[in-house]
Amino acid sequence: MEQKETIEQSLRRLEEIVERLGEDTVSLDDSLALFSEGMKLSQRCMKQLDEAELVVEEHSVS
Amino acid sequence: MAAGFQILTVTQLCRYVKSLLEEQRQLGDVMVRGEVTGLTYRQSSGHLYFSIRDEGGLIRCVMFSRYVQNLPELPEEGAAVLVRGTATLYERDGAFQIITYDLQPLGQGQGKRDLDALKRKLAEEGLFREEHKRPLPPFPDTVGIITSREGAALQDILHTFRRRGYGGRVIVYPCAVQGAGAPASILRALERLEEEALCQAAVIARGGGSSEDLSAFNDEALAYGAYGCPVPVVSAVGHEVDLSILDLVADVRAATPTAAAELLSPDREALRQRVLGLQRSVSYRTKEQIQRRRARLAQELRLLSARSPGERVAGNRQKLRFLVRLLKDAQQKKIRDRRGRVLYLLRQLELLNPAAVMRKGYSVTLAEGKALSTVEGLRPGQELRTLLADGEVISAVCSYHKNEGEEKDHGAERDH
Repeated sequence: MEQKETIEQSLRRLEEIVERLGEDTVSLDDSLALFSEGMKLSQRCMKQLDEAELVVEEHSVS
Repeated sequence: MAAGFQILTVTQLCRYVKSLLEEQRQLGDVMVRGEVTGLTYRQSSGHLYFSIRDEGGLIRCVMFSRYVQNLPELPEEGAAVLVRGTATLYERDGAFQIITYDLQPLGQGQGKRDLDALKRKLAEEGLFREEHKRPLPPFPDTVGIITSREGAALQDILHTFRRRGYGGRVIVYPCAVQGAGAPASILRALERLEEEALCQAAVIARGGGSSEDLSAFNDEALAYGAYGCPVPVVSAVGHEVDLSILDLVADVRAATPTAAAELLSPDREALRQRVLGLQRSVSYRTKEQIQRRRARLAQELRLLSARSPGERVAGNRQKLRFLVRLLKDAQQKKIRDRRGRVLYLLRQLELLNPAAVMRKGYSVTLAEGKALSTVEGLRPGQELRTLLADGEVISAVCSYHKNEGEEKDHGAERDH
């Protein structure tokens, strides 16, 4: 099974990216890489949000 | 068997004992202090059944509805009370009991004292400290619910999750929430949740209702278990009177199971807006980065071209041109000045030209080839040449005199 990032992790990473992009010291290459990562991540988040369904399980307690 | 030994029926013995008790006048009206336990209020009849106890014994009590009506409030489980009534035997159960007609609270019972002592102890150990409380994950995608499989709490929680569009995973760890085994059962469920390590938060929930049996949530072992839980614990025990020990230990206390579910399920629309906001920030800031660079590049280019050799030569050439012009200007000015001076001098000369003067009527008289400027030295008869503008006159001196006041010495000579 694919290890999916949680929404929380994705949001945290997105915030980090926004933060980094606000810095003067980031290189052009880095900012372009950050941009593409941020776009992918936010799109994935939206997809995750749209598709998320409540799953209820019961786990037995010995 | 001794003679006179009688075989009795149960009823006969009960009646006999009851009559013995009732003969004792002082048992007709007793005041007894003890701690309330096993309290049951029969809604239908309005009668109150309970027992009072202390370290050494237990007495069952019944209070009929007409007396219950007079009570400002029903006693609580564990409360110390003073019971007043008639001590007698309840024949049907063969049980000794007090028919109670008054009930007064007597301050804290032993159970409450024990609970308070436990709270104090755990507080001293730091289990309730604010700085140990962890915030709930804002967007958990897996939440563990520790509660009874049948209870209303579970239904409330699931209903809330659905209502808010929570798209996560909910794992229910069933346990007993009432009765003697409840603390251990809850603790086992919590341990299972910790073992599986799937959840980002744990809710320990129980629906509202019978408030007397909160003992499961006042358990010492459970307190340590919740305190040691690696993920934040939400207590949702659904009661209002007193805080249970679990409430105090938990990272977050929710008033109801519904409130707990709300705390753990972010609003889906709000989340969506947040993601979109971040996405906009990413693209805006990237644009800014590029623009900043473009501006810097333009500036660098300007600086660079200003320092290029071509630009320097051009600059020097311009400077040279300027200097040459300055030089030329200076020269011309000098020339102009000189020409002005020559003209001036010429004009001055012109003024002094004797011919020009003579044209105005002046003349020059020469004696022996020299212009005469004084009468002195003249001799009578001496030949003079007078130059006019258009010719000359030859004449001879007849007489001469000197002007008065010119020189005193020559006064006589003039008269001469």
